[in-house]
Amino acid sequence: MDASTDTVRRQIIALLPRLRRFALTLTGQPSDADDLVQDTVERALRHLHQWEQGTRLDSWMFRIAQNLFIDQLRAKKRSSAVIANSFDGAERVGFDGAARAESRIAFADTIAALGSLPSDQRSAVALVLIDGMSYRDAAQALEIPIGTLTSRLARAREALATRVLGRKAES
Amino acid sequence: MSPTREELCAYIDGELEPAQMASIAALVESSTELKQYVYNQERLLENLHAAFATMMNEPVPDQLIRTATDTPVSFRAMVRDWRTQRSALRSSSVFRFAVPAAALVVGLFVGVGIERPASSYIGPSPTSGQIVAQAALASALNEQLASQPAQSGTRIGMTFRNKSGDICRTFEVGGDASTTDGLACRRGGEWQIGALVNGPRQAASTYELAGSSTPAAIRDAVSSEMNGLPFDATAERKAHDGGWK
Repeated sequence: MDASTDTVRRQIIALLPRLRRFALTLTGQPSDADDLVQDTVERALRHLHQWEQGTRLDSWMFRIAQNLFIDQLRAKKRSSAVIANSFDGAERVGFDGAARAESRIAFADTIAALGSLPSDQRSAVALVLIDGMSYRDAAQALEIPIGTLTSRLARAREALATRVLGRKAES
Repeated sequence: MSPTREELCAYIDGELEPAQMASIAALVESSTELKQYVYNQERLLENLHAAFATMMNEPVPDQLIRTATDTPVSFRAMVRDWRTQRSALRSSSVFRFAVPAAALVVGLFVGVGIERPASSYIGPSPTSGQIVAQAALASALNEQLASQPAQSGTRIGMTFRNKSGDICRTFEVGGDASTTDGLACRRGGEWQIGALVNGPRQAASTYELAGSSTPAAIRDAVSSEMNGLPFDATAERKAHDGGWK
């Protein structure tokens, strides 16, 4: 079934919370995440003809966000150390909704743990573990083989479990 | 036999075939170490979801919604939309004979990587099924004379009568890198778009419209459609006052 532009706009608006969450997983900073989402939405609409009707709009937009993020990384020549600093900053900034102290700490801990992962593993975690996509859909969105995705997920899971659960055990 | 960590992850994520799921489940059940691994991974998932739960429930910034609502779509997507609507019109018995068999002038849509201006100024007509000028572009074609400066980013170029007797006008929207040039002809109370070009300008040669260099495709469209000479200022004013009939 063909989707009119108005329908696509409504679908994009419905996708915004998931896009923000994905972008935050990538960038580690709420303000950077919203900038990335904004760029993603603009890019998607201005290149809407490139979206193949009948395929998943969410996968296509996650792919755009991922590619824009990689472009930004390359452009700014960010080092992994700089990215890690960016993630540490999430503890101070946080989303408005994360006002309660407990929620804010859990949020910051998780964001910091995600920031310790290589960006390719973060993308896999964001789509499968956080967004709940199937391996097949996530692999398509990230344009990687399923084997690569499962390998990244396995490595990321172990690193995250050590960091997130280990920190809780210590506290 | 121990499962690989990838198999364990796929088991936790429910990505294995039923037989494999049962096989891994049996292995996990028989191993304290594997049980602990699965338990930790399930706790990790709970942590990840809980961490983002607040954010998922908070309102999305207005700016993002405006971007989704207001960003113009690509011209090719708009044409795809229009074709879909036209197809729906044609399949309807009411409109089957209402859609013109051919475009009013040359059905040129060139440089289809079009970006900003075009999509907000043109769109499909609900009555004729043709792509027509809308909003500021329609106002400019109705009201603006070639001698007047650009208004709302739209400049009018040449006015002439085509071989069907309709009045046509060239126009330019934008003025910077994303400038769109086009040709519209008046039919059925609408300005139907016959040619549209977006992209880097080409050097002027045959025609020089309103002091700007007009893309070759528009010049060609004008050449093939024009009947007689372009209107001078007096004829243009008279056509304006007469409602472009």
